[in-house]
Amino acid sequence: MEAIVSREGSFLFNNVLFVALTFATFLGTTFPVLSEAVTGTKISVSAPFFNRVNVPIALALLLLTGAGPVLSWKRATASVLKRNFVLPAFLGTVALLVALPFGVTGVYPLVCIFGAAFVTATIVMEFARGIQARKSVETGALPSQVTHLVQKNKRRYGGYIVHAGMVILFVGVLGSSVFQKEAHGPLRNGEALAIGPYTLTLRGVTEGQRQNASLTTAILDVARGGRFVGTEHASKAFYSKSQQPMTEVALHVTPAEDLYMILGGVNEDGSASIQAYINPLVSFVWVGGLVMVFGTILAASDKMRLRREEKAAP
Amino acid sequence: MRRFAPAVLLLLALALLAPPASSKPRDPVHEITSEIICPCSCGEVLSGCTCDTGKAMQATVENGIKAGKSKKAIVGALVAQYGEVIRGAPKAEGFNLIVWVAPFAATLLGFAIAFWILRRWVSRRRALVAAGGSVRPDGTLPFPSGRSPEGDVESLRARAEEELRELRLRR
Repeated sequence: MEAIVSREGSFLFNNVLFVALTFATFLGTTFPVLSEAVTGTKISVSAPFFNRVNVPIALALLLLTGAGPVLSWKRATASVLKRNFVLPAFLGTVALLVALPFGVTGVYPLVCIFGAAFVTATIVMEFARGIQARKSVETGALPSQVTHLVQKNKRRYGGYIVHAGMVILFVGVLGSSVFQKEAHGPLRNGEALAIGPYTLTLRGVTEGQRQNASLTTAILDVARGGRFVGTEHASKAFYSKSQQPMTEVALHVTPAEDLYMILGGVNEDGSASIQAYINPLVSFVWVGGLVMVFGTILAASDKMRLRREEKAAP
Repeated sequence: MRRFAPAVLLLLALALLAPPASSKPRDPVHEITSEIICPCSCGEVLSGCTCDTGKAMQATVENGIKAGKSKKAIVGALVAQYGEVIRGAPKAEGFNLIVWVAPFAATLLGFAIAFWILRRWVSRRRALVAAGGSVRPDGTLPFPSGRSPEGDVESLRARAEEELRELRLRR
């Protein structure tokens, strides 16, 4: 290794961030016990804490994820940095500027948008370079070129697929937190609650019994843009043995957004308290996770195949 | 980069002129309830809590906002009633400072250690070059190690054979 600014260096700093995230999560989850033992006061360390501490570290990880592939091994010279960083940084800035009119504000969402575009650009550049390098031996259509490129070096391109999954996941988290919509109100039979493009109409509230729990269920007709899309059941279960209430959320899932419907309870006047949330891009969180798993399997499969073939070789 | 400048300026102008569209407006009630944990057994963040205790606390927050009370006063009143346990994130004072400072301090320490290790590797390589170590034509050293040349040759041979075997298997 010849310089700190190199791909090896970015790997090391990336690993530091992974360890930092693990440490912050470990400390946060164990701290209430520690604090109570020392101070005698009961405290909580919950989602608001992790959002404040883990988000900046995760964003730094996202930015380094983008920087890693564009740094060369051993030493990244100024010309290499300029050549590899200008386009991703430019596209990141464009994404940032495009996001502003949509009302995206705050440092974290904006850094996330910049980082997502930056990393995407570096991944596309890496694939484009690989395809370009194989042009003399590979003349098929683009999808087959990409497939063959990945097959030739599964470890490297599997890694880039993991990066792509990470970007998708970050976009999902960003969308569902920044653009979340919320509506709540008491509904009588036949009354409707509007949230974004959806209208929820209460069709009735039923009481029932289920093994060790009594169940109160709100039946809601869901319409999107005036078109009926389904009937959902939001319930509140009360477990008699443990004397614990449990909310069972009704979920209407689409690729673009998830609609959560919660029954808060039945009021004295007979109306049902309904809470509804639209969480956009939640599917991205799932897809991102699956893409990351796929990339990891792909990257690991190369070494596994080599080992298998080595064993089989005479 | 200069050829992109007009496009960037145009986008910047559009961004500044366009009104904010569809992101979540800052709701003062949500700002408070998203930082509070329901003290009953449900353990939900108050903004999404639907239990009776949670609803009563939400009403307290809403009434406080309507009465023009500050965020600090509303949270302070809730904490006085239910205890520190309702804060989703502990107050950054006294012993609890540790949980706020330690993750970032550990990250900085990790970076410092990584930086120190990398600098050592780089300077060790430079020292080897300065001492007349066998440098390859591309300016890199074959193996940064303290082993004897024979040991290096052996390990290099093993590595070359391994890579050749992988290449053959890839074909």
